[in-house]
Amino acid sequence: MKAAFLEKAVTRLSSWFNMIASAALMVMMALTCADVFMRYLFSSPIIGAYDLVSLLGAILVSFAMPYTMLQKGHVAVEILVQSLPRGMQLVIETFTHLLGISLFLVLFWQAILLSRDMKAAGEVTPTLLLPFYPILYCMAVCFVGLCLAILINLLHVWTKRAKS
Amino acid sequence: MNPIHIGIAGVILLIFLLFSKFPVAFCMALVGLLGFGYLVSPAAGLNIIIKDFYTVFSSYDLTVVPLFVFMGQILFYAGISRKLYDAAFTWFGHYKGGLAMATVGACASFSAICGSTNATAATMASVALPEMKRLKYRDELATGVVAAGGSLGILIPPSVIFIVYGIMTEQSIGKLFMAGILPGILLSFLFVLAIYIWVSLRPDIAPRIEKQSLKKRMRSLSGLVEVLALFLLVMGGLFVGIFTPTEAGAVGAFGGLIIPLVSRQLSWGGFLEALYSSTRTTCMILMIVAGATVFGHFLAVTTIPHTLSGWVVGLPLPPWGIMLVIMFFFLIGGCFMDALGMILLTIPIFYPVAIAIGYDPIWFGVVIVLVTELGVITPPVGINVYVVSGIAKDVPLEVIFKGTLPFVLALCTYLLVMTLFPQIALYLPSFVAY
Repeated sequence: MKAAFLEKAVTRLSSWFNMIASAALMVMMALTCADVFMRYLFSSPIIGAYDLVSLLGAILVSFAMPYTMLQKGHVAVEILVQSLPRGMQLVIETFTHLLGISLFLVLFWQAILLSRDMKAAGEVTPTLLLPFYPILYCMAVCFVGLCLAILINLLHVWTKRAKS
Repeated sequence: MNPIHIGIAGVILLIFLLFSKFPVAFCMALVGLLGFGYLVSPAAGLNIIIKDFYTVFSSYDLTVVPLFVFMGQILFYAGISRKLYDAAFTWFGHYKGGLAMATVGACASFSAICGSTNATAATMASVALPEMKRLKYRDELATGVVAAGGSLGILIPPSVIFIVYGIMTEQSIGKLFMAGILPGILLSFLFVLAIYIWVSLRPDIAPRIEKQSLKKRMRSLSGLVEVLALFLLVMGGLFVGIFTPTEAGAVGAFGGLIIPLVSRQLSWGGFLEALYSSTRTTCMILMIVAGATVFGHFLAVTTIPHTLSGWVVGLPLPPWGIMLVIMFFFLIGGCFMDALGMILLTIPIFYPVAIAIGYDPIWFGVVIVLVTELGVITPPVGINVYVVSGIAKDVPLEVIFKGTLPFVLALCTYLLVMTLFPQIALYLPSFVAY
């Protein structure tokens, strides 16, 4: 019951996040096109397009992470594990999923630290002088989302085994 | 233990992790973190992993990836692949093995809007396989040609592999794209030739079909003019230097959105599908790039790339002999690993070698792409063959691998030709200004 609720919540969260990523992609496209048109037709490029597109890129990838994980969008070498007995598969998959969660918890922690450093140092983008640190906060949140998505995948591995 | 030993231990750990079904991107990031942390200091390792992720995620140059992926996805959901195939079919269908040749043509033209091998193979498999089956083409020819033709996706621009190679080695993406055009066209012809020879030897695998009327042929071209115009605008703009690659991608995606909107071929659902699969693909690619960057930093502190290239350069082999060894390594690696991961892992090692023995960086990029194309259609892990078998569920894997064999031969021949005549790849880029 609780697992089902968690799964529902994480799935919904990941699709909201992915909508943010999609919006970032559309804005990135529109902004870059507008920049090109303005530059060649009216010789007045959009100031700071470079800064904004870079930041939008970071938003796109970060917010797509949980969704990509739930959709099993990452490439992995499956050939060996698939040929192992089921018990072994379960052990290995549990281990790798937990390893993934630990890796991204570390990244979450480091993203928070780096964001604090950047805020303290006052690091900003070259043209528009936008602060960098909010993007790192976003990344940190998305790393947590990614960890949750990996957890859901792990639950799937277990429930699939329980059924078969 | 000296840094080189740690490096070797890291590579072994990486291989273990890779085979445990842990995503390629995560493997590289984790081993990079551990190795760098051990060799330099734990704090430095933690610091470099987040900085690498952040730098890759917010890299302006890498925004080319989502934009070109999006352009291909929109046109795919708007049904362009079907039209490309129909046109190729009505023009070439009546030749000996013509349907297979048409498939190569359609793959090549779809590659001009799509930058990945498996996407091209999947697209063309769903369009071309039912048609070849209906007209009684043998399974090995039908599936083999789709798997092999799909590999053109990364040679003919836009190409994800070229983008990533360009960024890793600081080469111009525009030049790399231009470098792919001539070899891509030539390779398509070579594939067609391979089909011709195969069908001449075994006429029973491909029955002849009727020639289509000129009127029908002309009509099949309608709806493709816009796509051709879009390709010319995007690549032409890049060629002349009007656009940066990111701008070319944005204009391409925008144009790709306008074309089906005007002709009303893209539903809201299709648009959303295109958008979502673009964010997913982008995330997958950029995570691999981020992981490889962390791993590359670790490799750099082990001094392995430097030592290895020094050692290889000192080998009593002519440069082409060393190049053959490198190609062989890529070929074996490509049999087991995903193309992008494989290339990103090995570039820090082999790129300095190739440059040290005097090869052109752009040419080396094209060669790497060609070897990767071989990797995706050879057993045991030929990703394109798996993609095709996922769609043609009734065809056994061995049959598809058998079907790719003539194209493997064609590709090997072509690699030799490219080594002898590097100008094929270097002629067009020589006109690119930046």
